[in-house]
Amino acid sequence: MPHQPTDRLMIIEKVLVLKTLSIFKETPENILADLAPLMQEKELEAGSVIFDEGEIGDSMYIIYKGQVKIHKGNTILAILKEKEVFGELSLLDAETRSATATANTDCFLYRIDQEPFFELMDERPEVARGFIKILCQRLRAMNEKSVGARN
Amino acid sequence: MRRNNFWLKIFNVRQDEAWLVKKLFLLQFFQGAGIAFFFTAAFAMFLDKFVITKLPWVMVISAGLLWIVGIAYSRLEHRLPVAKLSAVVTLFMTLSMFVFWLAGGFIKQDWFFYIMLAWFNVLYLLNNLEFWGIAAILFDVRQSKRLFGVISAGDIPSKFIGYSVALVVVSYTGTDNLILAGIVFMLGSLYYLRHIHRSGLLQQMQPHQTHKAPKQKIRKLVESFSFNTLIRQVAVLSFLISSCMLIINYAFYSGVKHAIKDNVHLAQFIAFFLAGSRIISMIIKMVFASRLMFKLGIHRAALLTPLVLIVSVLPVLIFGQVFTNELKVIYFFGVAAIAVDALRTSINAPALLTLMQPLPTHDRLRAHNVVKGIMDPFANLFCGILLLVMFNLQHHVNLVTLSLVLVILALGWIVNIFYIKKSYLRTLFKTVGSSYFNQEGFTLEDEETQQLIQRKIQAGTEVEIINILRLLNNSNSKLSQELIVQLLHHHSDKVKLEAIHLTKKLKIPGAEKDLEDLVEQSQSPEVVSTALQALCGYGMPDERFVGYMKHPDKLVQQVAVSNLLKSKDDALRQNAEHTLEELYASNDAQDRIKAVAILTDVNSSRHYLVLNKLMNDPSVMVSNAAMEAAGNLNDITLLASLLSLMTTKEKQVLNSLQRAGEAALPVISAYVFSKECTPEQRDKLIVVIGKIGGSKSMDLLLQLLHEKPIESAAIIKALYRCRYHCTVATQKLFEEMVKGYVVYGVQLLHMQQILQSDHKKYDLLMNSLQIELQQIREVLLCLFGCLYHHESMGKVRAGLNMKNKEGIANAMEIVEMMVRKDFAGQFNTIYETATIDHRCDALKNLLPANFHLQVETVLHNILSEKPINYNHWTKACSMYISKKNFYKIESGLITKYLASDSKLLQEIAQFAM
Repeated sequence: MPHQPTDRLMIIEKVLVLKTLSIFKETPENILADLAPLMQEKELEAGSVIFDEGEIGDSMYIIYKGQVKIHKGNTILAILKEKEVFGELSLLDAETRSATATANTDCFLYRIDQEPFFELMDERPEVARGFIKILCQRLRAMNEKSVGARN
Repeated sequence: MRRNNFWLKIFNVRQDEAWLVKKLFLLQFFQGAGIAFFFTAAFAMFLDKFVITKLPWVMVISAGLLWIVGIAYSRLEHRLPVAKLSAVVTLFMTLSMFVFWLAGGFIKQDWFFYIMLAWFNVLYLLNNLEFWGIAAILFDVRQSKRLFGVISAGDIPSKFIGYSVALVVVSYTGTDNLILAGIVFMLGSLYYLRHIHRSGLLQQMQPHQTHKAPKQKIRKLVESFSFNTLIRQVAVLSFLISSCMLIINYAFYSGVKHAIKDNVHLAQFIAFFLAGSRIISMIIKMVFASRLMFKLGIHRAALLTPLVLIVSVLPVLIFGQVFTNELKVIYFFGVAAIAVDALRTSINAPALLTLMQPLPTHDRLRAHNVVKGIMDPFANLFCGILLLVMFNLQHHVNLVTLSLVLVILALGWIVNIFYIKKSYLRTLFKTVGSSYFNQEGFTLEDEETQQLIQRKIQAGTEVEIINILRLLNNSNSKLSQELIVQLLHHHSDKVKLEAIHLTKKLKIPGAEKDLEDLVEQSQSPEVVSTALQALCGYGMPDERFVGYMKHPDKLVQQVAVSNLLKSKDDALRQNAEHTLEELYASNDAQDRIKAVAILTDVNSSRHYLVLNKLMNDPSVMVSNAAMEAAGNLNDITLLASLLSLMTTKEKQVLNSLQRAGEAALPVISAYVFSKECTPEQRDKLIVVIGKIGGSKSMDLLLQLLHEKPIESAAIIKALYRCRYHCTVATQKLFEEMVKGYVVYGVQLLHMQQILQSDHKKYDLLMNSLQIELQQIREVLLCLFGCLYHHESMGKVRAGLNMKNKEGIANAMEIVEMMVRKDFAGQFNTIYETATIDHRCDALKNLLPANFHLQVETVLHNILSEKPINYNHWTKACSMYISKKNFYKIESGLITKYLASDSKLLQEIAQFAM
C-alpha cells in the first residue's frame, strides 16, 4: 500500500517542505506560499514508473515519503530519498528525460508542472529570481570545479 | 559577565567581536612594547653620542632602509599566505633586535648608532604592515570604523608600559640592555599571533593573486602607487602626516638635547615624555576615537589633527622670539607633539586605514603597503634633506622656519582630506556596483574606430554587425548614416532589418532607392514589409501600395492596407476598408489579429468600436492583441473599456495601461479612488503608475499618499521608481514617514527579540518577521532615494543584497554618507549584522519607555495588523504558531480570516479555530 501521510499537508506545511529544498532556499517563504498550492500530491506503489527515459519532461517532483530509483534500463544511477527533488530543470526547460524514475518503495510525491509554474513566475518574479540565483550558484560552482580541474 | 559587557560597551565592541579584538589588542600590545624598548635604547644612545643636527641623517638612512624592507615585504607577500607572513615578520623583527643587542657590545663606530636608530623605523613599518594587514582582512569598513581605534590602541599601553619600565630600569640595566626586554615582549606577541592563526580566520587568505611577484623597479612601484585615485590621495596624506611628525619631533628633541646632557637622563626623559603622550593617546583612542568617527564621520574627524597642529604652531610663527629658551621649546613643542601625536594615532591613523576598507581585500592590503611602504621612506628622505639644507643655510635650528613648514604641510593635509572625501564615495560606489559599457563614450571620429567598424562590416558576424548598428543609432553623423545605408545591402536579413529600422528612425536622406530595391528584390516578407513601411516615411505614392494589397504574404499585405487606409484618395481608402472588414469578420483568428495590427497602425477613431469588440473576442490571442492595441492607441474611451476588464483579464489590462503611459492616468486615477477597486488591484495599479513615471504620475501618487496612506509602502516604491525628488513642501512628510518606518522596524526587531527566546519553537515566525523587515528596508531605501540621492540607494540595495559582509558594510557606508545622520545611524543599526539584542538595545530610545512585549502580544499584534499591514504569510505563521503552542488568541482575530480571499489564510484560520 502507498504511504498515507497522516494528514494532508496545509499550504504552510508545504512551504516548509519547499524551503528545505536547495532550489528554493533563496526564495522567501511568503513567495513560496504562492507556489505551494501548485504542488500536486501523487501516491505511488513500489515499482510504479514515474516517468520514462525519453519522455518530454515538464514537471518536477519532490519526494515527501519513500524512495525513488533513477535508472537507465537495469543500471541504477541514483536512489533518491525523502526531501530530495528530481526533474527540477524541467520546470524551466522542457527536454526529454535522460533516465527513468521508478518508485523504489511506496512513495508520496509532490509534483509541480511547468505551465502553472510559468504563470506564477509571470505574476511573482521573485520565484524566478530565487530559482535563477540557485542556478547561478550551481553554474559558478561548476565553473570553479572545471577551472580547478584544469589547473 | 555584566562587567565584561560594561567594558565592551565603553569600547564600542560587540560581544561576537570581543575575542578577536582582545587578541589583536594583545598582539599589538606586545609588539608595541618590544619596539618601545628598542626605540628608547637606540634614541638615548644616539642623542648621547651626537648633536641633534645629525638626526636628519638618520631620516635619510631610514628612507633607504624602509624602501628596501618595503620591497622585500611586498615580494614575500606574493609568496606567503597572510598567516605565515605575519609569523615570519615577527620572528625577523625579534632576530634583528637580538642582532643589534649583540653587536652593540663590540661595535662602537658612529655608523652603528645611525643604523640602529634608523632600524627603529623599519621595525615600526614591519609592525604596521603585519598588524594592519591582519586587521584589514578580519574587519569590514563599518567594523573598522568602530574597532580600529580600539585594536590599534594596543600599542599605546604597550609603549606606555615600555617607556615607563624603561624610565625605571634604565639606571640599573644601562641603556643597551633595554633591547633585551624588547626581545622578550616581541616573543610574547607570537603567542597571540598563534591564537589568531588557530581561529582559522586568516586561513582562506592566499598570497596576492598575481601570477608572479612584480619586479620592483621604480616604474612598477609608481604604477602600483597610482592604480587607484583614493590610494594615491591617501598616500599623499600619509606622506604629509609623517613629514609633520618628523619635523615636530625634530624641533622638540632639539630642545631636549640642549637641556639634558647624559645618556641615562636622556633615556629617562624620552621614556617619561613618550609614556605621558601614550597614555593621553590611549584615552582618546579607546574611548573617544570610534565615537568621534561615528559622530563626525571619517573626514571631519581626520580634519581635527591638522587643525590642532596649525593652532599649536601659530604662536611660534607670531611670537618667534619668545621661543629661544630651550625649556620653553621643550614645553611648547612637547605639548604640540603630544597633542598632534595623540590625535594622529588615535583618530587619523584609524581613519586613514578605514578609508581603505571599501577596496577589495587584495587591493586594500596592497594599498596599506603602498601607503606605509612607499610614503614613509619619502617622508623620511624629504624631511632629512629639508632639515639638512635648512641647517646648512641657517646654521641653527630655526623654529620659526620649521613652524612655517609645518603650517604649509598642515594646509596640504586639509586640502587632501577634501579630495579624499570625493574619491572615497566614488570608490564605495565602484565597489558596490559594477561598471558597464557606456555608449556616451562611443565616437566615430577617430580613424582607428572607423577602420575597425569597416573591418567588422566586411568580415564580422551577424551579431557583431547588429551591435555596430545599435552603436550607430546614437551617432547621427554623415558617416554613420552612410554605414547604415551600406548595411541595407548586407547578405543577412537580420542585419537588413536592423538597418531598415535605423534608416526609418533617422530618416536618412537619399535612402529611398535602396529601400525600393529591397522591396522589389528581397525574398524575405519581413524585409519587404519593413522596407515598405519605411518607404511610407519617404512619401511613396499611395498607388504603389495597391499592388501589395493582395500580396501572398500577410505582413506585406498588412502594411499595404494600413497605408491605403490613411490615403486621401476615397476610392483607394474604401478599397482598403473593405479588405479590413473582411479581415476582422474572418473566422480565422490570425486574420482578426492582422486586423488589430492594421487598426493600431491606422489609429483612427472610426475603428475604435471594432477594436472594443475585439477586446472581448472569444479567442484569447485576439483579445490580448486588441487590449495591447488599446494600450498603444492612447484613446481615453478605449482605455476606460480596457480598465473595465480588470477583474477578468488583470494581467493584460495592467500591461496595456502601462503601455498607454500618461494617457492612461486619468482612467487609472478614477478607478483607484473608486469603491470597486480592491486593495490588491490598487496595489497593482500603483505599481503601473510608478512604471509610467513622469510628473503627472508623481502628482497622482502624491495625491494617493494623502488620501490612501494605508497604501504608503506601495506608493513610496512607485514614487522612487518615477525618480521623484522631494520638494521643500514634501520633505517634512517624507521625513516623518522615515521616522515612522524606522519605528516599525524597531518594533519588529523587538518582536524577534522576544521570539528568539525559544528559537526552535518560533523559527517560522522569526523568519516571516525578517521578510517584513526586509520589506521595510526597501521602503526606507526608496524614501532615502526620494529625499537624498536616487542613484546611491540603488547601489545600497545591490550592496545589501550581496551575501558577503564587506558588500553590506560598504552599502551602509554609502547610507552614512548620503542620508541624514540620525536616519542613517538608525537604518544601519536595524540592518547591520549584529545580534538582535545589541540592535534592540541600541535602538530602544525610539520606543516608549513602557514598551514591553510577550509572545502572546506579538501574535496578537500581527493578527490585528499592528504596527503595519503584514504579509499573509506572517499572519498565517502567527495563527499556526498560536495553535501549535496553545496560545489563547481572541477568536475574532482568527475568524475574520475565514472569509479571506487568500486560500492560505482561509485554510490556516480553519486550522487555528
